[in-house]
This record gives sequence, C-alpha cells and structure tokens, in this order.
Amino acid sequence: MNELTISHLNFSYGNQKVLKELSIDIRKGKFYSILGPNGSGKTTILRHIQKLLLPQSGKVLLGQDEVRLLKVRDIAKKIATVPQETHIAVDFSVLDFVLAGRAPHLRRFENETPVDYKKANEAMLATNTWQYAHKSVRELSGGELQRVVVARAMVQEPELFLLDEPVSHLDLRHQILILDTVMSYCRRQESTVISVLHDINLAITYSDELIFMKKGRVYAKGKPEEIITEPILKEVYETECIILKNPIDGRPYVIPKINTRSEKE
Amino acid sequence: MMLLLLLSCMVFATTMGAADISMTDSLRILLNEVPYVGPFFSQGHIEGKFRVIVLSIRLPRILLSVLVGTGLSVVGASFQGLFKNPMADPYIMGVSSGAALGAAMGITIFAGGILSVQFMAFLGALLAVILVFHIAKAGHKVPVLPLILAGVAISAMSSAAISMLMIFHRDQADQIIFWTMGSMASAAWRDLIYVGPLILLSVILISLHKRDLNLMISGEDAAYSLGVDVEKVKKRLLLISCFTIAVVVSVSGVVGFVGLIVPHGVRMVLGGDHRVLLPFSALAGGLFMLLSDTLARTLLAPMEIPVGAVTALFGAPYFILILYRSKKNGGFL
Repeated sequence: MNELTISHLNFSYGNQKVLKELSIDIRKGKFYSILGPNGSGKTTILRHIQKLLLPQSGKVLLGQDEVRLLKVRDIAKKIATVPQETHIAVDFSVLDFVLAGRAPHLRRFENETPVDYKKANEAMLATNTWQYAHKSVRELSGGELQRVVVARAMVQEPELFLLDEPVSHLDLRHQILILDTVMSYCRRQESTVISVLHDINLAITYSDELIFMKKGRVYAKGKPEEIITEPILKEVYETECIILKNPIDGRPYVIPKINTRSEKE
Repeated sequence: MMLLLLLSCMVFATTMGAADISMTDSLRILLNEVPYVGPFFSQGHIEGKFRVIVLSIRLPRILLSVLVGTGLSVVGASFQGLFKNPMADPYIMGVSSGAALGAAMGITIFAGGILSVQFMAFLGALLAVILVFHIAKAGHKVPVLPLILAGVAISAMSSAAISMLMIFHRDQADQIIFWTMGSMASAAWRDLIYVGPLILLSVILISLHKRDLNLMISGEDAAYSLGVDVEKVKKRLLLISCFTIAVVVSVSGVVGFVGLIVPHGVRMVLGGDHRVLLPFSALAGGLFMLLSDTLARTLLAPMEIPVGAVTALFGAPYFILILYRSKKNGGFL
C-alpha cells in the first residue's frame, strides 16, 4: 500500500525550476532517504508533503487524500517532522514540550488527559529523556534537545515521519541514537520515514530504499545494495567514489576519492 | 489568590477619593447590592450621598479601569507571542493611536451615531497594525527595532492627523482631546453595559488560542507541523486584538504601556507559558490599571492626573530597561 504518492509534480521559484515532473511512490512502513547535492530539490519535496508549498502542477497524495485539500490539523495527525535545529525562546519544561505533540489530537477546549501524559512518558522513556522531564528545554544540549524533539514527534503518533537533516549538527553518538530510536519506533508502529540525510553512509545503513535526486528529478531509486554504484554516484555528486563493503551489516560503504597529496602541493 | 487580591483592591479603591467614606461603610454599600445576601447588610447609618458616590461614580470607574487594564494586557501578551517580540504592545505599535485617529475622524468627518465612531476606531487600529507589521517585517520575522520605529512613525502620523482635525473642527476639539489623553473619568454604567461583555468576550477569545501561541513562540514551522494553521491564527488574533483595542480606546482613550509592562512582569515571574501568562496578565492588568487610576484621581485630589501619564510614568522607564536588556542578550525575554 502506498503511504504517499507524488505524481508529475512541478515547482519553480520564480524562473528557477526546482522540481520537474517528479513522481515518487512511498510504501507504508519503510525507511526512505532522499539524497542528492544541494539545490537538487530535496527540501522542496518535504515542504510539498507538509503543504507548506502547493504544487504548481501535479499531485501529492497522502493515502487516498490530496494534501492540498487537507486541513493543517489533519495533516499534523498523520505527519510529524524533525527539523535540523529547534530554537525555543521560552522555558518550557521537557514534559510540556513533549506533551505539545498531542496538540493535533486535542480539541480547542480539551485538556490533556492521563492517556496523553502516559504517551508522553513512554516517548520520553524511549528517547531516554525521561530524566529531564522537569528541566527547561533551554538547558539541554543540542543532542539532548533533538532527542526531546524526536519524543514529541513520536507522541504525535504519525503514520509518516519527515526528517530534515536531523543529525547534521550532532555528535557521533547522538547521530546513531536518534536514527536508531526513530527506526525502531517505526518498525514497531509500522510508520513510514522519509529523511533527508547528508551522510550517505548513514543513509545506506538505516534506509530500506534510497532516492537519488538530481536537478529536480529522481535520478535513481531502490535498495542501497542495488543502486549504490560508482557510475550513479559520479553522475549524482560529480565526485569519484570507491565502494567498499561495510563489515557490520554487509551493505555498501562509500568513500569519496580525495587525492590529499595533490591538494596539499 | 490573584483574583482575591484584585477584588479586595477594588473594594479598597471605593474608599479612596475626595469624600471620606470608611472601609466598612463602602463594603456594606457594595454587599447590599449583591442578590440574596444584600438584606443582611443594613444601610441604616450611611448617608445617602455616599451610596451615590460609591455605586454610581466610583464603582463604574473602578470596573472600567479593571476592564481596560485587562483588555490592554491580554492584547499585549498576544501581540508579544504573535510577533515573537517582547516589545510588541498596542501603544508602542501605534495601534492605540490609530484607533484614536479613526475615532477622531468618526467624530469630525463622518459625524454620526456612536457606532460609527467605534467602527472607525476599529478600522484605524486594524490599518495601523497592518501598516506597522508590513513596514517592520523582514522575511518571516519581525525584528524589535524596526517594529518600534514603525510604531513610532505611525503614532506620530496619527497624532499629526489628529491635531489637524482638531484645528479644522474646533467645536469638536474637546471630544477629540478625550480620545488622545487616556482617562477613566467618563465612566458610567451605560458604557460598562456594552464595553464589559465585549472586552471579556475578546479576552476569552484570545485565551482560547493559548495552545497555538505556545506552539508559535517555539517556531512557526514547528507549530505548523503540529497542526497550527499559523497564518490563519495570526490573522484571527490580529482581528480580535484590534477589535479589543478599539473598544478599550472608545471608553478610555489612549492609555500607554499597560500592554507592555504587565505581560512582561508576569512572564518574568511565572514564565512564558501562555496557559499561565494570559489569565495572569488579565488579572494583573486589571490590578495595575486600577492602582494607576486610583493614584490618578487621588494623588492631587480634587484635581486629576490623566491616567495615561501615570502608566507612562511607570511604563517608560521599564520600557527602556527591557530595551537595554534585550540589546545585551538578544533573547525573547
């Protein structure tokens, strides 16, 4: 079953065409990573999925429904996002912040019920942030805060997670921690993940399928083992790469060819 | 707690003024008017004129100042959340002056019934807030300094236009002056009957957005992905706020700084969570306005200081203090 269907999507900022006749099928319960050079349209796709941008032509379907016609609140019941960075100006406690993930499920006059608190607690346990529950979100480190943001997204109970470079500014431990948490949660709940990752090897490790973008089109899509090839990488990134086998999971491992010596001379 | 403090201050304020009425007497007078328990409080020895002073002069004025303070503070708090900017305030942003200009135009150019003056005040407020917002906007943010500058510019323009109107319509100048200088002196039950419910309604409507405002101050994109239709909420809150300001200005004229310092003080003590901030701003605003107005009418009694001068006396130094602080840490608070 398709979680999300993008068909013949076109979009341009002014004269600059960002997406050209883009069509992607996203299947339920899988982990996808969109890869590609800067400016290839990755973030623009995510913004269309959230209805932050409206298609100039073509369609984005969430399940059976056209995203364009859905209410913001109804989208938020099905889609949660984890952005690269979150800035919070007010001293909310971690518990309140995570609890806010229930907002799309609550009516305007409704208060959070014990069930909502239970869900928040579970999410904080799963992300190992429970011990900060009564701390202010402003006192957390970047990695801790991102774990809290993931907890909030989990509390939203979405069918679909959108991760927009969620680990780009985090240390190694947190990169793995965040992606592990999201992956195991989604396996359990059969939720779908679409992530934009810059680290190609992280993407290979965590994804069921990769989508390579180039100049507003899908250049290649498929399982990492099938589409990580030297010609495709060269074409997409305009960089020579060597492909090794990752000794841990047997998946491909990409190393860009850098001639350090000639650069120094 | 806070509500109790406000109520007791209101009772206390009834005793303040040129005529010397004791605490117990005014309490008796007030309680006598409460249904069911009233008859237990005899009015035997209290002079009739005191009853009139408390019930038809002081009480409406006290209620009015509480309402005005509440309205201004809640609007201030919502503006600050909306623009993610601690300096947002109906007075500084020129909204109040816009409302006053609209009202002045309603009095002079479109002279008609009372409704047209109120309606013009609303239009003036709305126009001012839209202008200021668009002048100050840089991308998705509304930075502090441009916001204040734009507000000052719009205020200055409105004041200039009001002065011109006064010159051309000398016979109505007195009426206009009332709008430009805040005062509660004209308080009467007939105003309260329609202003009270309107202000309370606006306060409730704004408070219904507490969760949206909480989500919006931690980033509009984040709020959006949690189901807040950010643009819609902004427009709705701006509309309600302008309406509130127009109503407030229509009974009290332009009173400055209340919407700035009250929410700010509450935020400093209790934090920026709008679930706490909005109701406490409402109460503290009422209290602050009540104290200011009581000072205004008693300090130099029987002469009166314009209440706008009193609030500015507190507000302006506080404003400078916040500006100085935000320059140092560049934060929201």
